[in-house]
Amino acid sequence: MRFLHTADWQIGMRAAHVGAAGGRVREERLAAARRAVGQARAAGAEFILVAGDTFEHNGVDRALVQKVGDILAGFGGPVFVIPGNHDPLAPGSVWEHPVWNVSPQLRVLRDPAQVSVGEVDIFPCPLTEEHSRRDPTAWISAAGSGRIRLGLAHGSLEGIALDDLDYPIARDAAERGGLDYLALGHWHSWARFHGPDGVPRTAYSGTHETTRFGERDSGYVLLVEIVAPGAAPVITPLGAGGLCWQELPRELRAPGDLGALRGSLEALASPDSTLVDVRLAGLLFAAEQGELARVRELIGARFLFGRLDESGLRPAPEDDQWFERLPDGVLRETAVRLRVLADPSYQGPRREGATPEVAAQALMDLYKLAGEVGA
Amino acid sequence: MILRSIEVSGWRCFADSVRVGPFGDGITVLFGPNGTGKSTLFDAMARALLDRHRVSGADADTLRPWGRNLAPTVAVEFMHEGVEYRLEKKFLDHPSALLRRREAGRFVRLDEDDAADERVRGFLKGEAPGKGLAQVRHWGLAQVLWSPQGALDLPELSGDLPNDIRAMLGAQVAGPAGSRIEQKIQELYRGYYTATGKVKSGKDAPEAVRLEQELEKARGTLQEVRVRLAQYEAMSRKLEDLRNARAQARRDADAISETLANAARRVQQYAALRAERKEKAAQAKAADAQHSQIKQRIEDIRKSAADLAEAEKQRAEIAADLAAWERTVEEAGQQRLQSKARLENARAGQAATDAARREAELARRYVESAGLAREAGSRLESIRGAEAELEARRTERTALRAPDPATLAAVRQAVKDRDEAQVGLDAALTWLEIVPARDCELRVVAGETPGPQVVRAGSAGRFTGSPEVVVEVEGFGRIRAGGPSASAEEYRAVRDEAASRLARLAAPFGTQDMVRLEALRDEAQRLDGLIAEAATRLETMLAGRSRQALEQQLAAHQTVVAGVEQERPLWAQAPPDVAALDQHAEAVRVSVGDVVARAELELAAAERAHAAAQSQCAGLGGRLQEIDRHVASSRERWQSLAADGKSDEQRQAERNQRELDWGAARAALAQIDEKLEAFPEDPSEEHARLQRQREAANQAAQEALAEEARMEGQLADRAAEGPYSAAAAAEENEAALAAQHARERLRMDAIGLLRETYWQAKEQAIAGIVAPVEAAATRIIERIAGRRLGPIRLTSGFVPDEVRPQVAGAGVSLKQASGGEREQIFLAARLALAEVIARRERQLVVLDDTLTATDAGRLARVMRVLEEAAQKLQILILTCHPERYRALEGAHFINLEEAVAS
Repeated sequence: MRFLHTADWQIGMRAAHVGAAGGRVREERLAAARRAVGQARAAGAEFILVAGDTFEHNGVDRALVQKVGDILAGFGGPVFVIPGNHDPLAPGSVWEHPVWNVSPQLRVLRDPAQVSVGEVDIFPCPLTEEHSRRDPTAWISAAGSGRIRLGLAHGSLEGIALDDLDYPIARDAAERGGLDYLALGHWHSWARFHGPDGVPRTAYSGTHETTRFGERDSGYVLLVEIVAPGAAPVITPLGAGGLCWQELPRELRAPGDLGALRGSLEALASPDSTLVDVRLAGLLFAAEQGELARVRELIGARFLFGRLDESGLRPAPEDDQWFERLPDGVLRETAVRLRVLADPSYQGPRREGATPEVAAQALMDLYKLAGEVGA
Repeated sequence: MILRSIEVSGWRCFADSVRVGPFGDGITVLFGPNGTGKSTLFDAMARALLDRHRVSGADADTLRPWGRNLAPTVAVEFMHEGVEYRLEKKFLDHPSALLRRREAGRFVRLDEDDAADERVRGFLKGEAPGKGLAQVRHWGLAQVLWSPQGALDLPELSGDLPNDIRAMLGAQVAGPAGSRIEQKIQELYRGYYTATGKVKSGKDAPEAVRLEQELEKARGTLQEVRVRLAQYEAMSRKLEDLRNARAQARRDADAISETLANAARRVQQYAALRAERKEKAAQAKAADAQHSQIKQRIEDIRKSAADLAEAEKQRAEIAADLAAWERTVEEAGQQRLQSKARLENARAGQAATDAARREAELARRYVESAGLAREAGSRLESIRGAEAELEARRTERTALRAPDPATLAAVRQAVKDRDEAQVGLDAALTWLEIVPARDCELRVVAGETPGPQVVRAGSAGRFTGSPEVVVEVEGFGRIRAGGPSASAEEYRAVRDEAASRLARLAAPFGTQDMVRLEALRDEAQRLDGLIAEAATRLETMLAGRSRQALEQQLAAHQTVVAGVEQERPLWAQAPPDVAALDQHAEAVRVSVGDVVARAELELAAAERAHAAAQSQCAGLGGRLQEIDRHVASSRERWQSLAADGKSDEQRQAERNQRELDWGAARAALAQIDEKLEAFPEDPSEEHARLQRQREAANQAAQEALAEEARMEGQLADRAAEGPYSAAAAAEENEAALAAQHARERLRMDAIGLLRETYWQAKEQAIAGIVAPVEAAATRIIERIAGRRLGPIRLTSGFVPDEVRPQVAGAGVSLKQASGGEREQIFLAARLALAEVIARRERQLVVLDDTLTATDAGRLARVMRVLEEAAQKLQILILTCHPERYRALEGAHFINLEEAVAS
C-alpha cells in the first residue's frame, strides 16, 4: 500500500518579506501543489493524506479554495484532508466552501472518527481552533484490527520545538495508538522519527514549497509505502518546491571578494525562480565601487527577488588612497566626521537622523564623488 | 579696484565741470575747507559706481546744484583687475551710462546704460538698489573699504558681503578640487532639498517624498483590510458562540420539557387527590353531622325532663312561702294601726312645751332691748359733746388771720429783694459830702434831693445822686461829683417793686414785720392741730355711723321695751329672770319629747314591717306565675322531643352507630391528607412556570437560530472577500514600498548629512579665517593704542564686537570705549578686512573726514599704519585738516579748492 503524505501548503500565505515578489511566491505554492498531486499519481499512490494547514488562513481568497479543491480532486483517487491550526474547522472557514462537496473522493475529515479506505483505517485528528494545549491524537485507541492503521494529525511533536506549545503530540503517539504510521503537519521541514523499535512510524512531510529564507529541508512531499499491518513504513521524500531561496552572507575582506560574489550570483540557475538575500559586511575598497554597483544591479534585476544589505560595509581603513586624494581641509574633515558617525559604537552627539547607516551611506556618497572628480 | 580720477558737473556744489586726479596707487589726501565739495566728490564717485543711472525721485533730485536746472554728470576712471575703465553717467535728465575700457591706449566703449551699471556694480559685488538712491548696505565690498563722512563705524554687513568674504576665504581653503566636490554635493543636495534646507515638495519632490505619500496611503489601506480581517475573525468567533448558545438553548429546552412532563403527571395526581379528599371530607362532615344530631337529641330530651321536674319542685316551694307571707301582712297591718294611735296620744302634750319656750324668749328680748337702749343713749350724749368742742375750735381758727406757709415765703422773698435792691441803689449813687467852715447855703442842681440846701458849719452835708451830684455853692461856685456808672434807677425800680409786693402780701395780716407774721403762723398751726384732734375723737365715737342712725337705733330698742312692758307690765318694775324661764321651758320640752319620739319610732317600725311583708307577698306571687309558665313550656318541649316514637335505648344505639361511621370517614380523610403532604405546593404553579420557561427557551433557541443565520450570511459575505488575502497583498505592497522608501530615504538623508557635515566643516574652517582677521586688527590697534585694549573680537559677520582688555578679564563692549579708541578700533578692523579683500587686487580705501577724535600722538601712529597699508591699498583721505596728515610719507596732497578754481 502506497500513499502520499503532505502538509502545510499554506496556500494564500503572505510574503511581505519578499515585497513585490509576494504574488509570485503565492502562485508557486499552487504550482507546487499541482506537482505534488502529479507525483502522487506518478508514484502510484492509492490516496493522499494532507495533514493540515492546507491554507494559510481561513480568510484567504475563495478563488484559492476553489483552485486547491480542484487540484486535489484532480488526483482522481481518495484524498483525505484535515483542518490544521491555520485553517481550523471554525465557522466561516475554508471548509464550508462547496468545492469540498463536489467529489466523493475528496474528503475533509471533520470529526475525530475512524474512516476506512481499502485495507487501511485512518484516524484523523482535525483541529477546530488556532491554539490549544490538547494532544489531538489522544483519542486514538490501540485496539488492533488486523488492518493498516494510519494517523493523520497536526501539531508539535514533543521535543521538536520548545517555543511552540500548541497542540502537543506525544512522542510515542504512533506506538500508543497502535498506528503503522502517523502523518503529521505543522513543522515545515520534513523529518521522520523512530520508535523504540527503531522503526520510523512518525513523520512530518514539511511544507511542499519553501516559505522563507533559511527554511531547511522544505519543498518536499513524502511517498510512504507500508506492505502490511505492522510492517515498517518506507518513506521517500519527493521534491515538489519550485522556488530557490538563496541566502548569501558575505564578509568582504580583500579586493576581489565582490567580484567573486558577482560570479556566484551569475552562476545561480533559474534566476527567475530564485530569491536571493545578500548581506554584505566588511571593507569596501575604492576600486570596488564599480563592482558593488554591478552587484547591486544584478541583484535588483536578475532574480525573482533580491535583497542587498550594504549597511555592514565600511570604506577600508587601510584604503587611504581616496582620503589622501581628498583636498586637505574641509573635505577631509567631512570624511573624518562621517566615518566617526558611521561607527555604531560611537557614543558622541548625533543630530536627528544621523544614524550609522545614514552616515555610512553619506561617506560612501562622498567616496563616490571624490572618485568622480578624481580627487 | 583703484581710482584714477573723478570728474563731475552739475552735481550739488559743482555746477561747472570739475576734474580731480589723477590719483596715485598709494595715499592721496584730498583737502579743502568746509563746503568745497570733498564729500560731494566722494558721493559722486559712489553714485557713479553703484547707483542706477535711471535713478529718480526726490532724493535723486537733491543731486542737482541748488537753484540750477542741470543734469548731474560724473565720469570716473578706475582700474579693476589690471584693466583701466572710464565710466560716464548722467542722471535725471536724459540719463545715460557708458562704460569704456582702455584698449590699445584709448578708452573704447564697452557697455552702456543698464549693462554698464550692472558690470561696474559687479566689480564691487554691490547690490542693485530697489528704488531711489543706493544706500551703504548696497555697496558690497565698499561697505568695508569706504568710510562715508564721519562714519568710520562698520555697520552690520548686509547683502551677500559676509558670504562673499567667506566664499573668498573658503575658496582659498577648499581649493579647486574641493570646490568641484562641493558643487556636486550642492547639486545632489538641491535634488532633494530647497535652499532653506527643507525637503522639496510638489512636482520637484524627491522620490522619497513620493514614496512616503504612497506608503502612507498603503498603510491606510493595510489598516483597513486588517480591520476587515479582524472583523471576519470576530464574526467567526461570534458565530461559534451563537451555535454553542443555540445548542445550549436547545438542551435547556429539552431539559425543561422533561421536567414539564413530570410536572404534568404530578398535577394530575394532585388534582385526583384533591378531588378524593373533597369527597371524603364531605362524607366525614355528613357522618359528623348525623352523629352530632342524635347525640344532641338525646341530650335535649334528658335536659328537658330534668327542667320540668325542677320547675314543678320550685313551684311547690313558692306556693308554700306565699301563704306564710300573706299571714304576716295581716299581722303587721294590725300592729301598724296600734302604733299610730299611740303616737297621736303622745303628740297631745306638745303645746305646754311651746308656751314655756315663748315666755322665755319674750323675757330675753325685753332684757336685751332695755340694755341696748341705755347704752345708745349714753353714746349719743358723748357724740354731742365732741361735736360742740369741734365747732368751738373751728370758730376760733376762723377768727385768726395768719399767713399760710406759701404766703410767708413770698413775703420773705419780697423783703429780701427789697433789701438787696436798696443796697445796690446805695452803691450806685454818687455822693458828695461838704463840711463847711461856716454855714453855707447851697443849691443841689443835680442829685437825689435837688433844690437849695443849707449845711451847717462843722457838719457834713451829704448829697447823693446819679449819675452825678452837682451842688452850687453861693460865692464859691459849683461842685460836681461823679462816680459809679451803675444804674441807680434800675435798683430803685427793683426796690420799689419789691416793696410794693411786700405791702400787697402783708396787707391781710396788718403788719410787714416778719416776726409778727411768723407768730401768727405758729398760732394758726396750733389751732389747726386742736381741730384735727377733736374731729378724730368725734369720728371714733361715731365708728363710721351717723348720729341720726344711732338715734334711730335707740328709738327701735325703746319701742321693743315699751311693747313688752305693755304685754307684761310687771316686768317694768321687776325685770324677768330669763335664765329661770329658760330652765322651765327646757324641762317641759324634755318631758313631752321623749314620749312622742318613742311613739314615732314604734309607728315607723310597724309600717316598715307591714310594707316588707306586702312586698314579699307580691314577689312570691310574681314568681309563682313565672314558674307556672316555665313548667308549662318545659312540659311542652319534653313532649315535642320525645315525639319520635323511640325509646331512650333505641336512641343510644343509633348514636353509637353514627359515631362509628364518623370515625371511619375521618380515617379515610387522614389517609388522603397524608398523600397530599408529598405536594408542598400546588404543582400546577410549577407546571405553569415550567411551561413559561420552555417557551422562553424555545424562543431563545429560535432567536439564536435567526441570529446564527444572519451571522452566517455576514460571515459568508466577508469570507468571500478573502480578507486574509487582501491583507496579505496590502502588507506586501506596504513592505515593498517601505523598503523602497527606506532606500530612497537613506539616499536623501545621506546627502543631507553629507552636505550638512561638509557645511559645518566649512563654516568651522571659515570661522578659523576670522581669527587671522581678528589678529590683524588686533595688531593694528596695538600699534596705535598699545596693548591696553587687548584683542579685538569680530562677529561671524566680520563686525567688531568687543575688545578684551587683560585687566577686564572678559569682553568689553565697544560702547564702553572712548570715541577716539572706538574710531581707531573700527579703522583697524576695516584695514584688516581690506587687506583680506585686497589679496588678489589692490583696492581703494576711502576715509572721509575720519579720525577726528584721535589725538595727535595716536594719529602719528595711525600715519605709520596707513603708510604700511598703502603697500596693498589705495587710500584716499578726505579732510579739511591737511596738516594732520603732512607726516604721511609718500602721500599725494590735492587741494580741492585750487582744483575747482582751475
